[in-house]
Amino acid sequence: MKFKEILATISVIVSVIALPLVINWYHESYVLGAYPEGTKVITLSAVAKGGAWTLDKVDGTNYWWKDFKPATINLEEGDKVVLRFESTDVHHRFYCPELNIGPVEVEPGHIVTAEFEANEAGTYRYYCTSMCGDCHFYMQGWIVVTAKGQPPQQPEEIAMACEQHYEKPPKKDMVTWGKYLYYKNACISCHGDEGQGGVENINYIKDEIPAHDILAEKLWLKEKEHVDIFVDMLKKRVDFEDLEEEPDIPLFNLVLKQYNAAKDLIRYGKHCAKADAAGPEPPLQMVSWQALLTDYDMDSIITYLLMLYEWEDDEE
Amino acid sequence: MNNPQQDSTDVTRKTLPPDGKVNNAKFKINLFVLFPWFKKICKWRSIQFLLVFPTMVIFLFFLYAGLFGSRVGNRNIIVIFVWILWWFLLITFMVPFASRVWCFVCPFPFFGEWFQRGALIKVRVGKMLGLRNKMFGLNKRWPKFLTNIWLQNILFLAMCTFSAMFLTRPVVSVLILGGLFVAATFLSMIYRQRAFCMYVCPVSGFQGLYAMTSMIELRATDKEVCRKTCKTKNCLTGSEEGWACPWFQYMGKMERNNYCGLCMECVKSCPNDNISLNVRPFCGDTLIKGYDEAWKSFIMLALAMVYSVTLLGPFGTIKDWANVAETGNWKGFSIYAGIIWFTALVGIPFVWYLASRLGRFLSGTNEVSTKDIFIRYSYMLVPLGLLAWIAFSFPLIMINGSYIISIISDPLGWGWDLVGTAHVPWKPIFSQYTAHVQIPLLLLGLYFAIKRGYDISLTLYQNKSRAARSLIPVVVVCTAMILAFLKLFTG
Repeated sequence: MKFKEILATISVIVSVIALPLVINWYHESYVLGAYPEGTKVITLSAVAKGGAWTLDKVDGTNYWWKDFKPATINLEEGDKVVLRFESTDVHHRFYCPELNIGPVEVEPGHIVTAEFEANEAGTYRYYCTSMCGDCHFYMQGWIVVTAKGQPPQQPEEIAMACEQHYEKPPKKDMVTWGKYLYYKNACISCHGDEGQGGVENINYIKDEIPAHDILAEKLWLKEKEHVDIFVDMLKKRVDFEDLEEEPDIPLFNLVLKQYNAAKDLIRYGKHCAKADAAGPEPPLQMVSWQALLTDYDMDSIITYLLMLYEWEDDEE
Repeated sequence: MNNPQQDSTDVTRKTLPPDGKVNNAKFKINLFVLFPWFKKICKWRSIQFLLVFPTMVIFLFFLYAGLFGSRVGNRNIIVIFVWILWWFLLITFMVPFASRVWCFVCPFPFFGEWFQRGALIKVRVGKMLGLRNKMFGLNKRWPKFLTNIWLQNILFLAMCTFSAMFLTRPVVSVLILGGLFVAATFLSMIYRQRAFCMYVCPVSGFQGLYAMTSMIELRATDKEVCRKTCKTKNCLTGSEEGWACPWFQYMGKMERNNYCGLCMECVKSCPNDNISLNVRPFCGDTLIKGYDEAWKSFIMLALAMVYSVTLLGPFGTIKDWANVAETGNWKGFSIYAGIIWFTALVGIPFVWYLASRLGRFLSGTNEVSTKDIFIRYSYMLVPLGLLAWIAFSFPLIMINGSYIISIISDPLGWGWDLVGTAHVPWKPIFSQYTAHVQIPLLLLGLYFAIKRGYDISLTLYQNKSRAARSLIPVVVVCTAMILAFLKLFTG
């Protein structure tokens, strides 16, 4: 009996200690170690909260509190790489058009892989191209390929991080409400701070995301007073289809047409056409907002953008 | 109020049937006589360790997976194997066919019992607290006001309120299961024997109630031998062959499955070889002893209803309320939690009370109190509730069963493929036959509820007609509940 007792005690102690060691040993040796020798195996975990493809191990112990940062993947020219993707929450899609990786569909809890060879030195931007949450539009990072023997290049900083805690203004002021929606819904990530545009969109026919701080001009509102009249009509929720009297805005029908086009762009989204038909799909696409924004919300965003136009001072 | 410790020592209560029998099973087969080798196995000291040890290692693996594996519920073994597979096996097979056999292999009290006994296999002989075993720890008595299953009732209700969270979040499962594991260990150091299992463990509470239906029972072969011949009462006090019953049961008076954890220590320690493991008909024990047990039956039925509505029903809003971890809708969750607690603690008991009062009125006599009718007839909700739970659990396994196949290969969601099934896609299994399984189960539950209800009524009333009339309102309530389940399950 004494022998049995000792054996049982040893079995319990050994199994408690060995269990995590065996799990990790198996993972390192037979899962990560199963790829051909010399392959660089990199695991990228997708986290919708905060919007990041991260190199950190994400699990139940840290998901709730940790602020995951988008990973910069440093490689050397000639590296053979296996990217292992896992989603820790919702569906994501990894896309690095310049390195011809993806789009890779990443389902929650499933590991999917993509293999590539880092042939040319450079900095390559990657994205998540599946609408994965409030921080989706910020879910970008860099793959940096450096020439052999050279120190890694420092990529340009990704414009901004996802900020989810904007102070909610009163809804009745369309300008501040529109600004709030513009920032909260991450329009800023593509259309730039205060609608300045200029964000590069690879193989997009226009190269860059167009600026929207000139929306007044695009809507054929050539004078500030015309903008004021139009905004006033938006604020009063005038039914443009049933106007009794046309406002004092030149070419009003054209203005209306442009306004409807702008609103449809927000409502239904737009596919960004390729510059080179044989090239990769542009990673940044205008998504449809009709499920998330009301008619009033869309008008508020348009109002905010109209107010961004810098008018020359007539009095001078 | 019911005191489980007195379950085997107090059989002279007012609620007992006139003939003193609390077990109406006439047909019994003693497995120890039929299979003597099985008895030998049960008497073997190492057997429990050999069964609990692998369970404990698997459980620790689940905890590890919950903490460090994929945080996606259906890709983590702790969620799929505990809440889908284990639950299905427990409620569908273990409890109805093998009583509390799970308690025999349960890992929760493993470390606590080890520290308490200072041994994994052997028995320590000594003299303390009226026992013939030596135990470590403070060995305090469990507080008298908590010697009932109210704490288990509340904890189970609380646990189930957050079920949508632990079904989708492995780390929440770790918090719950790990919490129970720690509590079991901690309480074993303070209180005597398995106080945790007896009075705290939320799983133990419903197992005890539904084990009354089980087709297995461990009993004294001849109670007279225990009462008159046996001087040592080894089952209760222990011996050098076996530990004192961790569940505080004395086999000479144990009449129900409720508080027997099937640990087989009494089989080992009985000096008169007077223990039988009997196979018996379904719903053998029919005596509900107190309000705590009655409320357990209400709680279980309410939860079966709420779960069926939430998890199997087409009500998206209620799903969103329950799934507060995803939606963050705490107001909705408060309504959801309020509905559960109100239905379980007030709604169903109130309806039952009204039916009991009406039953007393219809019986045309005051010889039985409303309290006795209320408590004793609440047994009807035991087979009813159990079969409703089984009917609820079948679609759960039919819909989520294919996850089990892929999880076996990739238990942590780390991209493993241990047996080549990691990429088996999710697919419901025979889900087109769900209603074909559920309808007979529910009707079987109603049949046993009425059948056993009538048996109970005959023990309460001398007159058959009065007995039948007293039963009418509760039968109507049971039928209405089953119709509600049928409507929900079959549309």
